[in-house]
Amino acid sequence: MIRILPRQESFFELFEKQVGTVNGGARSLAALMADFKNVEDAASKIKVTEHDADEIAHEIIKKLNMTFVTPIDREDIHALTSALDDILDYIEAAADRMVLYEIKEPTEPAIKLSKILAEATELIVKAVGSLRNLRQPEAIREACVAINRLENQGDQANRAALAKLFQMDDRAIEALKWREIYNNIESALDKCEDVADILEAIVLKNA
Amino acid sequence: MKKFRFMPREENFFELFDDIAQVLVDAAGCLHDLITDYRDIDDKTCVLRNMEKRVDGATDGICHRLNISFVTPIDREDIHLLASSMDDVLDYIEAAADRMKLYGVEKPREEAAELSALLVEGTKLIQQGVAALLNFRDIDSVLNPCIAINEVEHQGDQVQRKALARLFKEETRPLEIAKWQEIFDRLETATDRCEDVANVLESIVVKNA
Repeated sequence: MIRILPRQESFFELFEKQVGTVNGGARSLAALMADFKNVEDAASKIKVTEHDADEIAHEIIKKLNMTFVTPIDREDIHALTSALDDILDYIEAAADRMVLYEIKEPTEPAIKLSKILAEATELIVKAVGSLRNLRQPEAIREACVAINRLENQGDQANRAALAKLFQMDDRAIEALKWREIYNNIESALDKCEDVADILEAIVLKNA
Repeated sequence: MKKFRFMPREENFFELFDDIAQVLVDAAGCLHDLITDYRDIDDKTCVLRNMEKRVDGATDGICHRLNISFVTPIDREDIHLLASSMDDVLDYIEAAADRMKLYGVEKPREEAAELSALLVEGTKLIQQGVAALLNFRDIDSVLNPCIAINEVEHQGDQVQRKALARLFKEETRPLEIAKWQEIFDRLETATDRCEDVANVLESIVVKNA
């Protein structure tokens, strides 16, 4: 068969690309926290990733506007791509604050939270990869349940971390810096849960 | 060019959404005025609070119309989502102003005015997008303001970063930092909420395209 027009990427392929960037960003953040070197380079790498993700999101919206029949409901495609975009926004904000606030070394909770976030995005990759197989939704459901569990863990870790922060009377300004960084990572996790909710709704609709 | 018609005037939704959009523009203007001309703080924050009540009233009106309308021009949940996302913008505008009063801010930091100027722009774009949706014009007349709103949100991010960098660099009193961190957060979140409205508008158009 001869292709006259260049082959267009499907929605599934675009989503897989987008979750790839989300996972890449989350892993970079976790790697930065675990091995605190070249903070500025790491942060600017995450910024580039975030920009790439923006482009993919635009491509998805553009494609949506030109496509008559979509493999999943139009509003679900739109909601999913916006929520995925939000995750990276928070990851990027967290990394950016590390540079902005001239953080000298990571804290235990920062390492833990970013690790939980990386795990959650791993599950998102799995779940979104399974969207092609809506007839076998088990993989998506399982991933969504696990994402919810990680979000709860993140919540608790954040609360414990904040409680500890505000015990250091002598370093109040440090505490204010870290509070913001933790909150950004925790918000990224919340957005992972939003993605899980959207995926679960898609599964239900197509059951 | 493709024409569409989502909201017939006779449904009365038109006036209600138009009203909310106008209040948002007024509220952003009022916040900007408060920040750039920091006087009569009690009066100005009080005006903002009344605007919030007006929007709550309009949102209730929309919910009421939803309950008595058998056929709605667009999906009921979208009408509801649009109203509540517009309401959220106002909540954060009001919260930002209220925090300044509450925390006894004596003089707003410079970047606050930059953020409120962005909110003036963002709410005007919302008004444009909503009007385009209601006046059944072409798709691009809705989508273009949405794209511009995304840019406003992006700029809001940048200004907040700049503001925080300077705050931590120059301010030595932790409580002062904590106050401004929160005020900047409210202002920046208000621009995020503008983006949420844009997302709802986009989604409505995309769904019905």
